[in-house]
Amino acid sequence: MSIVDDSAPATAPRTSATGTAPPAPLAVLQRAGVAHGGHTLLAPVDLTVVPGETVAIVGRSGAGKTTLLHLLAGLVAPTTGAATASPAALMPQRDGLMPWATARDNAALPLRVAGTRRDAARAQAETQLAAVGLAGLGGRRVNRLSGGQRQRVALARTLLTGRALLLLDEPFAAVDALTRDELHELLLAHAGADGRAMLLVTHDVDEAVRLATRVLVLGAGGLVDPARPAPGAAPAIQLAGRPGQRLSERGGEPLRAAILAELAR
Amino acid sequence: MITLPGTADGAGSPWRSRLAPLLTIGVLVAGWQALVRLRHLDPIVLPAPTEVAAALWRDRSLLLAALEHTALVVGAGLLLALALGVLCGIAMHRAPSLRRALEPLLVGSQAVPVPILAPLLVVWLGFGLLPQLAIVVLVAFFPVAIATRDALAGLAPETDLVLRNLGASHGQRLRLAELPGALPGILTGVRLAVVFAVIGAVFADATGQSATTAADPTFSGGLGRVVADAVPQLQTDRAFAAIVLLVLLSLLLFWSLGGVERRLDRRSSGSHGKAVPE
Repeated sequence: MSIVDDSAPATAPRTSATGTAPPAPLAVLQRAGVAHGGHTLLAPVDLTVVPGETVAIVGRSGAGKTTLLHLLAGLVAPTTGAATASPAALMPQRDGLMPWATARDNAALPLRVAGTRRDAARAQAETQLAAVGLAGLGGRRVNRLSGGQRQRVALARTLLTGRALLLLDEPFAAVDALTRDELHELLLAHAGADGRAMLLVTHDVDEAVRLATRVLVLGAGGLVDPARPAPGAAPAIQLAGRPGQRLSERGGEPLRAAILAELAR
Repeated sequence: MITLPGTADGAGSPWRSRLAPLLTIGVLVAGWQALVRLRHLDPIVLPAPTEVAAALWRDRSLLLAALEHTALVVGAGLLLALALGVLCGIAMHRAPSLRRALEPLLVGSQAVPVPILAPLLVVWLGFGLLPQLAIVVLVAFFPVAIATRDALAGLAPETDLVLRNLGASHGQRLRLAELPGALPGILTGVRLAVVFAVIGAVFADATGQSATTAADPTFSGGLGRVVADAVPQLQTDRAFAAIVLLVLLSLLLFWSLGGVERRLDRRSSGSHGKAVPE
C-alpha cells in the first residue's frame, strides 16, 4: 500500500517549494489500537501527521490521549492495526525534568544522549534556553524554577532533540491562566518552523483551537482522521482563521459546540 | 520556604548551630564530673572527665598509634565498602532477579553478630589487618548497597519516559540521570556506614590479636585493643580515653561527609543566574 497518499490535509502549510508533491508524512496510524490485560487503552485510531502542521487532539480523561502519544513515541507497540512514525520527541505530562539538575543540564539531556560532549551540549542548551525566554537562568536548579519556567525548560529539551515531530502531553495543564497564555505564544513561535510538526493532546477546547492547524477529537470509539474519512465518520471539525487566533475568530461558539458534541459521542 | 525574622535557621546564625552540639557535650561532661565528685566514685568504676583527660595526655603516644591503626582500618574498609556497595546496589537496581537472589544474603550477613564472626575470621584469615578489614567491609557494605539501590529507583516516571524516548543506553541512564539523582541518598547510606564501620573496627580489633601491654614496643593494635587490654588491667581511665578518641573519629567522619553533601548541593544548584529575577 501507499503511505504517501491523498491524506495530506488541505490546510497543510509550508509544503515543499515546488508545491507539487505533498510532503512525506511524519506519522501514519491505521486502525492502530492498544489493549493491555483485556482493557482497551486506546481504541483504533486513523491519523496522518505531515510536516509543518500542529494537530490538537481533544479528549476526555481516560480516552487514551497519553497512550496515543506513547504509541507515536515508540514507547508502546500497537496491539491492533499499524503505526509508522519518524523519530518523535515526547514532552511528558508534568515535564519529567530532573529536579536536582540545572535548567541547562536538563535541556542538554538529548544532546548528551546523542553523544555531544558536556561543554558543547551546555553551550547549545544555553542558546535554546534563551530562545524559550530563559536567558540567564541556565545555571539555576530546576526545583528553584516556577511551573511556567519548568515548562519552558521542558520545551527547550524537547526542541533540542532535533526531531521533526514533537509530542506534547497536556503541556500547560498545571500552570495558571496568565502563564498558559505566555506559553501558548511561545509554542506558536516555535510551531511549523523547519517543517516541524506538533501533536498536542489536551482537554481544553480553547487551547486546542488557539494552537492548532487542525483539531481532532479522540473518543471512546477511537479517532478517524477526517483527512482520510471512513464511511459513516463524523464530519470534520472546520477551523476558520489561523493558529494564534482565539476561539471567537476561529469559529466561535458553534465550533465549540461541534467539538463538545464530538466529545460526547 | 518562609523564614521569619528571629527564627533564622543555620544559614542565619552559623555560630549558634555550631554551638548547639558543643553545649550538649558540655552539659553532659559537667554532669559526669559532678556525679563522680559528689558520690566519691572509685576511678576504676567511673573515672571523672578530668582523669580521662589526664590519661589522654599520659598515654598519648600509645593512643595516637592506636588511633592511626583504627583510622586506617576504618578508612580503607569504608572505601572498599563504598565501592562494593555502590556496585552491588547498581547491579540489584538493574537486574530484579539478582536483587531477589542477593537480598537474603545481604540481610543474612547483617544478622550474624560481629563478636561471633570476628574470631572465626581470624581463624580463616589469620591475624593482622585482613580480618579487621573484612569485618569493617561486611558491616559497612550493607547500608551503602541498600541506600544505592533505593536511591537509584527514585527516578521520576516521566524522566524515565523521556530517557526511553531518547533511546538512552543503560550506561547513559545511569551516568546522566540515575546516579546524579541518587547521590544524596547514597551519601545518607555512607553516613550510616561510617558509624557501623567504627563499631566493626573496634570489635575486630579487640578480638583480632593476643593481649599486649601498653609497655610493649611492638604494640600494633587499634583503639579497640586498647580498651580490651585496659579494662582487665583496671586502667578504666585509659579505656575511656580510647573511647573518647573513637567518638571523635566517628564525628569527624560523619561531619566531613555532611560537608561533602553540602558541597555537592551547592555545586549542582550553581551560583550562576541567581542575580536574575524571574
